Amino acid sequence: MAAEMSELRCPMCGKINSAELDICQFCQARLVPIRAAEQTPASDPGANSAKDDSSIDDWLSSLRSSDEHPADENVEAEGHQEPFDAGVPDWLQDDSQAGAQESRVPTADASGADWLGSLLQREEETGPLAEGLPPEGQAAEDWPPTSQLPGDDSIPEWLSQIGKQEQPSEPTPSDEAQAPEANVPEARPDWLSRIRSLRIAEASTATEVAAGEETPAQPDAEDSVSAWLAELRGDEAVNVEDLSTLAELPQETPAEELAVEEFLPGESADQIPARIEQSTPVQPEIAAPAVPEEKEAPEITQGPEDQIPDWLAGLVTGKAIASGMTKVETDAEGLPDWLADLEKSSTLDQGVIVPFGEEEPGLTFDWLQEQVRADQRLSTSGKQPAAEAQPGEAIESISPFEGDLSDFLEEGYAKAPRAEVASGETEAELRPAELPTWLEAMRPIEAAAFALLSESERETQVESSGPLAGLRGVLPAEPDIARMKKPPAYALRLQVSDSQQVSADLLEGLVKTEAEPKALPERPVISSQYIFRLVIFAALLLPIIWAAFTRSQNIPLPALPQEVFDTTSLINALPDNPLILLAVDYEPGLSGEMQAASSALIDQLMLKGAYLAMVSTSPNGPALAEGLIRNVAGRSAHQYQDINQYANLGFIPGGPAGLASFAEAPRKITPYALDPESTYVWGREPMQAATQLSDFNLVAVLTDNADKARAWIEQVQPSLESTPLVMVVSAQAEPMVRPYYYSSEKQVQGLVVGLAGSGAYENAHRDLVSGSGPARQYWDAFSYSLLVAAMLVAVGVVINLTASGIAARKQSVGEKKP
Amino acid sequence: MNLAEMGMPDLVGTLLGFALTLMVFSYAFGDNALFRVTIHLFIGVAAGYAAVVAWYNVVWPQLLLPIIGGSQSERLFVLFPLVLSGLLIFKASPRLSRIGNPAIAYLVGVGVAAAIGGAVMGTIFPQVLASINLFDAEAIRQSGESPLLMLLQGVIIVIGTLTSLIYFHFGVKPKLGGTPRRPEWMEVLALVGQVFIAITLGAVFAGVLTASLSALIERVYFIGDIIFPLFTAP
Repeated sequence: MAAEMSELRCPMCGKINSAELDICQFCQARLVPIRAAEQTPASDPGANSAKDDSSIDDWLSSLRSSDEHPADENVEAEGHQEPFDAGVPDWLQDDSQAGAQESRVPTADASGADWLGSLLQREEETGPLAEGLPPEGQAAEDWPPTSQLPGDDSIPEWLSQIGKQEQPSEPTPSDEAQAPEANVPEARPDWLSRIRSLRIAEASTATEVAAGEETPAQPDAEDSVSAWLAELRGDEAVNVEDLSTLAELPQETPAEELAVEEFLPGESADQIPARIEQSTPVQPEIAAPAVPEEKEAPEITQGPEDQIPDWLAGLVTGKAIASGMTKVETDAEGLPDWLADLEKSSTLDQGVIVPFGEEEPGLTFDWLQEQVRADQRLSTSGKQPAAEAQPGEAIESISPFEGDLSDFLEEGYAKAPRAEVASGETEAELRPAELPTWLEAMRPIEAAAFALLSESERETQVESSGPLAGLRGVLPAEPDIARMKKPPAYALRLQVSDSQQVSADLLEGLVKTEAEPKALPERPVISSQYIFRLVIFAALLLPIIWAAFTRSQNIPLPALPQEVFDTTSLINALPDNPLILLAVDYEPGLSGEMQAASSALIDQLMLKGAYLAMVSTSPNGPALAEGLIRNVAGRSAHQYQDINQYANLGFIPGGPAGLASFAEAPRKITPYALDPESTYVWGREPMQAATQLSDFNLVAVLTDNADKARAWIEQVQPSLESTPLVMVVSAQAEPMVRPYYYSSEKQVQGLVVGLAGSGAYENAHRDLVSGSGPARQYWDAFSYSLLVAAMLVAVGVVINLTASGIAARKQSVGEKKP
Repeated sequence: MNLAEMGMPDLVGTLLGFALTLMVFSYAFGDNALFRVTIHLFIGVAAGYAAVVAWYNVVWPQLLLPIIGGSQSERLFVLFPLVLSGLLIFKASPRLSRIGNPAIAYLVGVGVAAAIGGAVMGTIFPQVLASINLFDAEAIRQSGESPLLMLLQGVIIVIGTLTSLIYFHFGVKPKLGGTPRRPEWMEVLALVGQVFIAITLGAVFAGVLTASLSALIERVYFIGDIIFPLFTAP
């Protein structure tokens, strides 16, 4: 017993806790009920009996004070129920005081009175709390210790003592009629004790009726249920004031109609608390149970001020209804179903692990909930007979605030409809939020429907597991994300009006047209630009054709410019048979101009008997050089042969770097001529004497490119020393080359520019090219075409200026206009 | 030009040239296949001729011949360009192009050095000196020209030179809260420089036109020399 006193078994999780604790250290459930803790301060110094005094309802404390019974051996301090005060009716007294050794389950008859005892006995032997049986020496009443629901002082102790061990001895009617709850501080729920008492009372009444005896007024511990019921009805010590705060109880239902006889057999109607009778408004409609009519339900006469807790009333009546719905399956002893189920073998006995919430009804609170539901069903259905409800009806909704509530809570719940009405009226004053039309149109239809659907689903969904099993409208323990449910696919369908649809179609069309390639406009075969180009070509070509056809040479050649004069002077100053380095660096496209521009110079050099060493920085240069020599020689009837009179040294690679290297070592860069034999002309006369570029008598560069001319000037001219450098350039390169001629150092000593320079050259030396050089031939055509070109440019300028002025005037006039 | 007096090679060449010239002239009527054929033909012939010249004028005599028949010193001298030429070949492969980077680097380095050195010594310094000498009294006197005219000419040249250089100056100081702009005096001088630059570009355009006309005239005369004798009495 000492060991038992030092340990407490949690009624929720069943784990062993220290006796000094009030709250289970594993599940945080209360180990010691507040009421029990208050009433047993001496037996267990460590008990927390005085801790919850403040939280105990006055009515309960008053009841307790009036329900003090002499303690028996079953009175324990830890977590057990404390005896009621003397004034507390038996039904409120602790059933544990009646003795845990004996079964206190009252039955309708002598055999029915043993139902509670057999229940407890079975629990002792094979119940789910078999493991939690108290150690040896500990009274059965002390086990399991009384516990209360956390934070709820009105929770009957029967919940905590449901697995309390009972003594195997069968209860006797006399024993059952006793009401020892007040004196037995057992861990037995009050309600169970009360029910037991009631049963005992009924049983005793039945037996007495059968035997012609009256039901003892004071049931013993085993008849505590009937006893407390009887006491409740006639006990003046009941704190009516406290009870008046409890739920309202109709008083029109006679006790005979109560079906409480089913599980309170033998209990006379007088023994049934009036509150139980009057707690159910539909009591008159309760179908008569299959209980012999001789068994009258204890009459409960209770004034308007006497009110029993609704939870208790609902407990009794609901159970009566539930049992009335079905054929009462009682055993030989007349046990109701809910108790009979407890006698069935528990799955725990078989070692089968049953998920929480799916245990046998007797091991959970489902049977209690059934009573509540039955009560609720009756209350909601109004006058519907109880038989309409089926026993196997699925538990759809269980209000957590019905059946097991203390009176004050149930009273509040009873007033809920009115409160709802009031809230509805309040809600009427509050207008729902009005969404703007554009926002309303954006709401996905399916999402809103799903939200509503899910909300309704939650309201009707009944929790099937956990401590809240059977309750309706409970927030799911599992988050939505953990539910194995495929998320719905929302179709983004907006509420689009007609005007919006039209606008959307327009926008879509615009976007589509942007991506589509635009069809190009058909170009005419003959366009204005094409005609204009042909006109210009004809304008330029016709004078040339006419001049070529007529062989016109009427236009005088230009005067001799200084640069051409210097060139001719330099050439005239050359000795006979000079060694000339001739660089042919123009492109084939302008070979006509270059040949015409250089013919006079080359002709003069040929007249001098000069040996021409030709090089080129262009790969096509050697070919052009060959053609130039052949053309000039053939025009002027010079007999210039390869290698003997001239040497084509070929191509100088590397651009400016190659010219620099050529200026350093010309023999290494161009060792051989491009003749079929690849003659090494540097070993032959007159080139044998030339070891460097300064050994040449003259360096003449023929180029149409200003860059090439600059490269020759920059790379080669510094190494020429006194050797003159003359250049025959194209008209397009003249602006870039002339500054070198005008430089103070005279980097270019002679300059012949295009056809004009050659014409002047020919004009100065009429003995050149037999008096009719190419410049002379082309000069008239050149002059005519150049004149036409100039006229075309002038006309174009005038037209452009005129058009620009007209456009500007139109724009200014348009701006001035309002 | 008398076709009858030409030999067969010259005759074929002349006629071929005549046809190709006409094909080129067909571009005046728009892009066509004849013009494209002529262009492609010219590019092919030019490339082939360049390859032959490069081989006979550069590779064979300067790279391979010294190795084959040259002396020891010549071979050693040729070894360096031979190695660089071998590395340059790897530039043809995208994967192995990195191997030819040393040769490219050498070529670029030498070319840039030659260009920069020539530009500085051959162009900038002489031209600056020439600009200075425009105001040399002795030179003006020796030229025999009117000194005032020479001075005016010198001033114009200097102004044109300076303003053209100022036009190409785009460096400005950063300005907080505004768009960076050149100073006003610089903007005025740049505008003057724009005038000189425009005149220069006009002159260049005129030279190009002149050169093109000269080329056209030569070709027309070539065609005329072939066609006109056919219509004239011998």
